[in-house]
Amino acid sequence: MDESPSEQLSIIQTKGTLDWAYPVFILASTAAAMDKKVELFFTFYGLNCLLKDTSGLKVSPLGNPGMVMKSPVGPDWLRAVDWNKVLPGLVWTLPGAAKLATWGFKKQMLMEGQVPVEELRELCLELGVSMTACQMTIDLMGYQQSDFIEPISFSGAATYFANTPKTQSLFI
Amino acid sequence: MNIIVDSKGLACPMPVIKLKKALTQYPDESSVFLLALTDKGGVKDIPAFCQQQQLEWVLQQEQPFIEFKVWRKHNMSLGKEGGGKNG
Repeated sequence: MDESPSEQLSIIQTKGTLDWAYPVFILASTAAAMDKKVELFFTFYGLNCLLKDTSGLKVSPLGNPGMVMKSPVGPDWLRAVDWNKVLPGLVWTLPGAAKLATWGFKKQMLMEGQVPVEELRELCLELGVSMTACQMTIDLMGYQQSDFIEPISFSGAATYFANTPKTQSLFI
Repeated sequence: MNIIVDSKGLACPMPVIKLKKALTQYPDESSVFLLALTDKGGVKDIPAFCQQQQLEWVLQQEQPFIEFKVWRKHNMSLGKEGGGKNG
């Protein structure tokens, strides 16, 4: 491949939560719209981002101190409160906390004009972003190839490195 | 031909993607794209996109929404606007 590194984007996604899925798809779709060749490699928990069933993509303030958690509903004073700052972390261990946080996050994103993550992912594919799921971790986690969206490819790290530029970004 | 690209109410990266889709859909050099958006980042992002994609642009307004006029550099009929070339 003769393409210069500046015309390519390659990201390794190892995280499987909603707040990690968005940035990768946002960056990938934008780069593809700017005619860059984009290669995404999903491994370990990052595989969650490629499943047909996205219900596993959640977000939680637990162990996630940077997360801003505001209510998407209610009066202005209530919506201004960052609950991740004012409540003790223990609260987020309660049953239903992750569900509530995920609901709030999704609602907030839609209110801010963000599209659902499934739609963004579809746009990436439409714009020509190549997505590869790591076969080793698929086997490790007991997934089937039929669990994943199409069209994506399945291969290992060597294939990924052979197909991508000198520059790789590990999303950490 | 004027093509309206309405991405009001949509956040990054949608304005750029909608513009790109419109550009692909209307490859005609005489096409002029009127892009409307409310995503504040677009004031910098759209020019960056246009520059990278060899497009000419003019920021028409910022209120009540942001509006860009975008056209291809080869479009001579609009060459004088926005500091573009005119032959």
